[in-house]
Amino acid sequence: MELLRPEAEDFLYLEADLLDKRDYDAWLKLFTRDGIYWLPMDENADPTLESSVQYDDTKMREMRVHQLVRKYHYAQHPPSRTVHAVTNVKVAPSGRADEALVRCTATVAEMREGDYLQLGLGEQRLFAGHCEYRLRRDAGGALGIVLKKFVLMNRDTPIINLSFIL
Amino acid sequence: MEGTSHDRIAPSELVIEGPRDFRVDTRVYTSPAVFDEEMHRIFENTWVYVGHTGEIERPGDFKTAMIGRNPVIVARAEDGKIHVLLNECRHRGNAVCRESRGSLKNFICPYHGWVYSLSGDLVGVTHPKGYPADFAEKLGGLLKLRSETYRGLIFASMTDDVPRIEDHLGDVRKYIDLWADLSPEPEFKLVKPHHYGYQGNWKFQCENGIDGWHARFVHESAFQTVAEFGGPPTSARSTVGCTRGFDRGCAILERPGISQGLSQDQIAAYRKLLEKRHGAERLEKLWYVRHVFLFPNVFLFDNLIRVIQPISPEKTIVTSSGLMLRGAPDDINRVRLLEMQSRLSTTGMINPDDLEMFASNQTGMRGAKMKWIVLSHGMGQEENVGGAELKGEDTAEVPQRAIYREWTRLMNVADNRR
Repeated sequence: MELLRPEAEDFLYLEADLLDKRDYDAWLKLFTRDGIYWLPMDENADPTLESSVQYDDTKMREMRVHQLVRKYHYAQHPPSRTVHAVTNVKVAPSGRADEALVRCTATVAEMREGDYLQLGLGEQRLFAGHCEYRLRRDAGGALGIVLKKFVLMNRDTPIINLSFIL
Repeated sequence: MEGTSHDRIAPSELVIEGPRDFRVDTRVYTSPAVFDEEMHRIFENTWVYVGHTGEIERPGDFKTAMIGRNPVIVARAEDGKIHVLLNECRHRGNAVCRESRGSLKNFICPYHGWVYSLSGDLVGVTHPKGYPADFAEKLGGLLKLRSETYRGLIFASMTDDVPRIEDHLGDVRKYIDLWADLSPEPEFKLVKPHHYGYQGNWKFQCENGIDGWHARFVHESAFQTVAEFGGPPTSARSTVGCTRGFDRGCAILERPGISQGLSQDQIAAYRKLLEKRHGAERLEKLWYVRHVFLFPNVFLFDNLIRVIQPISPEKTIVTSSGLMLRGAPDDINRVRLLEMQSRLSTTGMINPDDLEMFASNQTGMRGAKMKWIVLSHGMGQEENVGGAELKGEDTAEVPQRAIYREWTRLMNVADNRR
């Protein structure tokens, strides 16, 4: 599937913007119906039979967003602010006529709002990793995410409060 | 740490028990002196969970763990026997093993090349001519800890002065059997652990995993979300469960029925496997969600083993290993894994809200003027069901009282440090 780097970048920047604005309902729409959001512990493991940091199909993503947006999810009250930075974007051969493969590096700075003198709030943290996106065009030509894979640098060490969306 | 008498706070000042009164001094959560005492008097004087046989299945396999602040190696030797060894070279104290898990033929200290077998024996000293001929034999290898295994659970003790693990577990042992028997073929398989943590004292997690009272409040957002997406209605998260307290700080939160996200067909298939192995009568005894807490550091849930690692008075790490059923088809284990992971892991819908409570607990505890927290709910209403086992309603603080009674017992143990 034909995809040039500027279009890939624009799509990734759009996703980053939606997440930083906490427009999660719009973010959900970026995925295809069979889309998967995966934070692996081991990229080579079968994520249906081995642990991941997170492995979400459409229903699971929708549940997470529902809990974040329409319920009082204590781990996100006060909520996290994020700044997503996407770099090193490359379009690579996907091996499939109907998909494009995009690799990039992502760093996400995050901080909980609220009373910063209290534990767990007001501390700036950095998450970083290499990402791989598989994208497909719909009938109208718009890109959709078939797979977002974010391999976190700290994926097998203790992470405190990962209840927002990377 | 050798405290002077004005440094050390007597345990009798920290936990107060009356006929319908049970209070704990907030300094147990905040004081560095109390934390140091705990790391010694609790973690170095009783059986501590260090791993599961499913983590070291083949000879040569090892994993590392901590007993309090003591780094240990849990290794399976060539003959299949399990050894728990202090991760400390006998020469100059170097940690000979720096990976958290793997497979080796022996341990080689990187500093001066000394070699230890998987059972800890000192196999070779480099440049032995610098020592008398019998030096290695007299010195001995990596310090071996007393270690026993029960239903796949590996325990070790820094002191030899503990009863057999079966006797230590006492009345809770039959519930561990009920837990372990949930795998159609013994014992559970473990997937790679989830790692998370919180800014709070280790005992908050101990007190929370067997707390039946908080879930309907703290986890309302998760339960309602699940219900609105086709799961069981929130009213089904009823109060039909119970709490149990035992000797040695062990405790249980229990409610009937297991779902684990399985379809009706999958539940029927799973139950059929269990019935085939255990019979119809025992199947009904198995068919509960039980959170079993074994003081000081491990929870057994129907779908995971959760280990609590204290780091400092205000920091704790949790390692949570999902449990897969041996002898069950892959489709059942797939559903169980994703259900457990999406609810009770680093990014779960459920447990991060507990961790948020712990951080705000720890923040509140800094208020020195409030001296006591209150753990008397359901006191005087418990049922003694036999032996040392007390049973209460699911909102009763029976488990928390069991924890602090054992905490007090161990904090009063004579100081045997050198």
